[in-house]
Amino acid sequence: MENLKNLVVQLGKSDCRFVIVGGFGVAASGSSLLTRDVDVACDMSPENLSRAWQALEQLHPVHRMTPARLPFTRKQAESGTLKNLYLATDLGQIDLLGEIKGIGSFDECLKNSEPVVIDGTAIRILTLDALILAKRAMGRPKDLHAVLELEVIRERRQKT
Amino acid sequence: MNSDSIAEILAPFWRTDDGRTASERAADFGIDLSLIEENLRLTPEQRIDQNQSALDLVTSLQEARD
Repeated sequence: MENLKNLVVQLGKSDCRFVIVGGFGVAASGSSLLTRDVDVACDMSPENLSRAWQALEQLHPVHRMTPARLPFTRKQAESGTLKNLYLATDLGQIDLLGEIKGIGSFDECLKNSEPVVIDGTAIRILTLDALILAKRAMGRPKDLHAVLELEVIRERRQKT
Repeated sequence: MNSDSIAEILAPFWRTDDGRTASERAADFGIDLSLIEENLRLTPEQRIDQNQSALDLVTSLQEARD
């Protein structure tokens, strides 16, 4: 059963270094837009991906972009060759991305993030300004709706 | 309508130098600002729960139709 909150918390309870970006972060910031997947900026080092693999292993992660939906394995995680991962799990889809357009590397995302507590677990999410930058950088029609809502939220925050 | 035409229609909404507020721009785009107002009364975790509830409903409706 798809449950993005539990998916994020599962990863957050591990020592994996990641920052929520994309639609899940947009929703957590107050947008009315629904999201059906989780995008995270992730430290793509073998050590960190090994932590991600351990956190997700019991959720049966597979590479959803491959026709055969091959399993994501510990060997792959520790190979040191992965730049991005597009996974499907028992709890939903999650993308682990080494770089975010408009922001940069994982370390840049980390600098532009803030903690949010979900189900008792501290999860880092891009700041509102960084989410807007990232969505503007994507520049697709579907990103415009998110940009407009996030800029309203920023306007409201500035007034209070 | 091709993608160039769509981009041309959307272009004014990407701008921030048109003298309009973000709320005015969003309202002109057709966004229901009251939904955002409601969400801002919630905690981030409550917003995530709301997203999940809506997803569950969509899934149920899709399964019922199939």
